[in-house]
Amino acid sequence: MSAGLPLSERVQQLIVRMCFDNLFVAQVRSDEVLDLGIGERERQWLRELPQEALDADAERRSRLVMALRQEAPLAARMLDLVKHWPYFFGSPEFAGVIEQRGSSVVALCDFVERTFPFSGWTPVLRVETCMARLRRKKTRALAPHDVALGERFSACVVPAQTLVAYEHKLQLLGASEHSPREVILAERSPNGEISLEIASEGIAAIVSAIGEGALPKTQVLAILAAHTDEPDTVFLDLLADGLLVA
Amino acid sequence: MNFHQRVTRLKKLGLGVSTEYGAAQQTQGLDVFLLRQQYPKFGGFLEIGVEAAKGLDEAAQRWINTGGATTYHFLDVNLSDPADFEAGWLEQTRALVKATDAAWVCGDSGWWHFGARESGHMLLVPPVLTASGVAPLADGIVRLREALGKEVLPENPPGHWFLGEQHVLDFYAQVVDRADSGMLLDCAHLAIYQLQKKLDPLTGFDGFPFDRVVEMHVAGSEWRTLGGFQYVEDTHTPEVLEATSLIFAEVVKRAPNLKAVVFECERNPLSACVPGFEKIAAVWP
Repeated sequence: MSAGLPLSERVQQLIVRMCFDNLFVAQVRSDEVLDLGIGERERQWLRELPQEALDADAERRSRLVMALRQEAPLAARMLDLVKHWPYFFGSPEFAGVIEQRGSSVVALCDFVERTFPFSGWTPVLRVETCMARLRRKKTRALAPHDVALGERFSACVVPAQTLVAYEHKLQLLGASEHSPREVILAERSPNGEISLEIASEGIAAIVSAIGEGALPKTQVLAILAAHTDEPDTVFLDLLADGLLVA
Repeated sequence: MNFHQRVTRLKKLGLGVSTEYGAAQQTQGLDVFLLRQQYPKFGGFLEIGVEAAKGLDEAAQRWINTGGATTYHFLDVNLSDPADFEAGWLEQTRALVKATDAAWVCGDSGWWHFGARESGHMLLVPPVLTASGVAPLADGIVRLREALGKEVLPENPPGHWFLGEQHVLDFYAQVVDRADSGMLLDCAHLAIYQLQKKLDPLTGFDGFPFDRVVEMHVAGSEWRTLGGFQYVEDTHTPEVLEATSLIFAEVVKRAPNLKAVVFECERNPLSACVPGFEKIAAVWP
């Protein structure tokens, strides 16, 4: 909370928090002693605010989430996956946005990094955080002999291959039904190890069609015929390799 | 110069319309050029709603290029927060105000956004109507007026709630007095306040300095219900509530410095708006 803030402005900050965070609303309405930075009269005003009035702008949260998805797609996706948006809106990071003129994007990145430290996404999320901070970087005054990164630059130290992983995750997020597809074929060796490879076009067509089920032989041969001049021979080879069983 | 001296230098703009970025591109959006051509009296000026980060759209630019009068309605500053007057934003706003050649600057004097000024943070929360809210808002009006070199008219915002011990008109009476400023009185927003507080539409009129009203807005609003909660939404539809019309007619009688009236109906076709313009013109010829 900013020191020296006029009481009316502090009440506004709390109203905005109430617009996004239903748990906070319940806390304000309760008799729990809270250090809200306002008097009992102002708290009573907040208590009397009808929930429906706060909810009348039904798109408020979704407008913000949409903006966050655009700028921090990976962090937003993480919250989508675990249905964690209400926790973000109730987080100290989000309260800080309201109280310290912060950025929701930066707060989201910080929140996800803090909340899911072992998710394996941390390095790629750091790339997003780095970009979010860079977009908001301002020129700063330097001491006469100091040197710093220019305002157009920022950096983050992450494990090797993080940039590749970051770009790959973004690609996956952007993938649609119409995006190019590949079929990964997993094969277990006699000693139990599993190897992965991208299936050729013909194999991909067959394994996709069969899936974990089964197809009549005529249908499998028809698929093969679309990819080879000798479907019967190839079919026998696939049986011999153990890819297909009949 | 004090307000009463400054206001004599402001041009009378008459009856006009408002627009926001992209409003003209909407299929049902009001064609302001057709309005000006067919009903010149209703298209006296264009109030351009602007977020500095977005700038002016093609329709606004065309209106300016054809010499149309304008006012500049900000959509992106929390007047009550000194930290919101960032140098970069001020520079952009100054350039835009100059580009529009606006007669004055105006805008809802609530919170247009929370946190930093960035995408997704936009909202419009009315000020808390309490004594401690007067000085921050009034000082912000003076700050912006001095920074832009233009008259800045605070507008009473709409709201789904209004907190504070003061009546909205008592609050703004103190604000404009401290800022030595004029005001944009939005009749629809005032009606929303009065109806929500279950007050007569003209409550609070005694003692309000109507000589500071330079501009007024008239707009349609609609009753809505959510759960058991009834409220009035500021829809800018052409059908104006009776309370709004009553407020407008009464303020017109009391506002000697009224220079401009906007009928806010930017998302509706011209044919649907004409009767509303005609009613306003009958009250304020």
